[in-house]
Amino acid sequence: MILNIYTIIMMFAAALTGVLAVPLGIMSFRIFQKWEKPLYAEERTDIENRSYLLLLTAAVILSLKLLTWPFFYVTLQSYIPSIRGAMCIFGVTQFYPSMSSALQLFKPLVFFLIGGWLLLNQLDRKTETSPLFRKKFLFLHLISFMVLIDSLGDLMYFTGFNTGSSVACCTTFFDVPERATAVLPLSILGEAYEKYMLPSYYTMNMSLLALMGVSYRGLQNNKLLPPWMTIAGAILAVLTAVITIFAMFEVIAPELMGLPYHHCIYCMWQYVPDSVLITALFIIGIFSPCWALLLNIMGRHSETDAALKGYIMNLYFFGIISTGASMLMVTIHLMLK
Amino acid sequence: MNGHTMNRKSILAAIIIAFSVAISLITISLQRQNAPVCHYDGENIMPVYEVDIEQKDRGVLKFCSVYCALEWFKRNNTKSAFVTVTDELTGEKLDASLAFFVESDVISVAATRNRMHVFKDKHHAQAHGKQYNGKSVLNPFNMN
Repeated sequence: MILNIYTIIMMFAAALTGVLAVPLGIMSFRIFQKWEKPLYAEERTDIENRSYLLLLTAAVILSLKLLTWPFFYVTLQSYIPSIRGAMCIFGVTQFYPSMSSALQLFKPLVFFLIGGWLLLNQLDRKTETSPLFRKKFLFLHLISFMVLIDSLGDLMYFTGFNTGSSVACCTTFFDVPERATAVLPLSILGEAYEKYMLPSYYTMNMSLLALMGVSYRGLQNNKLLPPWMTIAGAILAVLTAVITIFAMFEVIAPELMGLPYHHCIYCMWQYVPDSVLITALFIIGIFSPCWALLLNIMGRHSETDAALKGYIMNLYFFGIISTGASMLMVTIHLMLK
Repeated sequence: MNGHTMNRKSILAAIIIAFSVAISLITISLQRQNAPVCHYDGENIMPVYEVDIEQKDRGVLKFCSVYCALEWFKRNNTKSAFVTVTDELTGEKLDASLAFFVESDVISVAATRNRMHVFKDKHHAQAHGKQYNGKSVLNPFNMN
């Protein structure tokens, strides 16, 4: 185990969220079950009183869990000097590759669901009779289970490190012609695939901006969006994410680093510090329409309509600003290189 | 939606955009002032393992190891005019065609797992090869 301040914070957060996820999951399911039956006023008040503390705990724990996603990478970054052969986060992830891949895929999902639940909870709190009460407790039950898995994963992963062995550098993985981000576009677009990457990146991001802009305008004109509109936004966001990830590895990261043959996004975060902000803004921009879809599906009720419209508008607004800012930063780098 | 909320949102948007642009410009200006790093993988260069490749028309590129320089050279040998390597015993720079290369069990740059070693003198190269299970290699930066 590599013990530094980052490991201690990460382990503390994992232990705290993991331990509290268990009662959170059990109690949220009990409340979900009890709320289903016809209840006397006293019973109802009793459940509501108990739920306040649970919801407060959930909000704190889940907010903490949100922060652990970026902190996961900060901790890995801090291990680079301790692991022989590692020159970026990729090298560190090669120490325990299957576990790190699983965690890297699982964390965005947990982040997305937690963000969705926090928004749903806020939306429900805006109402008089809490019409989303059951839904949000069932959702919380599911999330608690995922938080528990993620926390256990973090504990296992970070206690398993040692400084004894050496790992391969990212160039032996990302800079070989058989890398995944090159093989797929090569098979679809042919040898000159690189020249299509940037136009595809801009086209997809601009389309997403346009769709979010149209949705925002529609909501401004006092119309609640039909579900298909938010579904289209979420689908376009996912497609944009896929294209952008390929473009990042193949064209943007090498350009930003000034290393034309080096396709490592982890090195990009290290050598071009503002690329961390580019990535964060991009993630918020992509998640925003997906959260809008989640809210539009789960938060619909006659009592929430007015507040829901405001929430979805705000999500699209932040989506537009984040995606736009991320794209602008990439453009500034490409123009000034 | 009232005008006040719209104004607040516009100000927030302007702040986020302005902040992002400022951060990018600061990063770019700092990058331009930084010390040279390996042109292939961005790693800091240790002077005793440095390889410099002079291009025909675009100046000199610096690499952290023979491995990185060779990876670049394989793709761009037509652009290269001259390759300078470093004797890892003395740190002296010399033309790659005059150097002795040995591939051994010793890793010089951990990040790239570079096992190729450069020496100015033949007997040093032979001694290294004998000690670390190495074999002599012809100049890998062959312009022909």
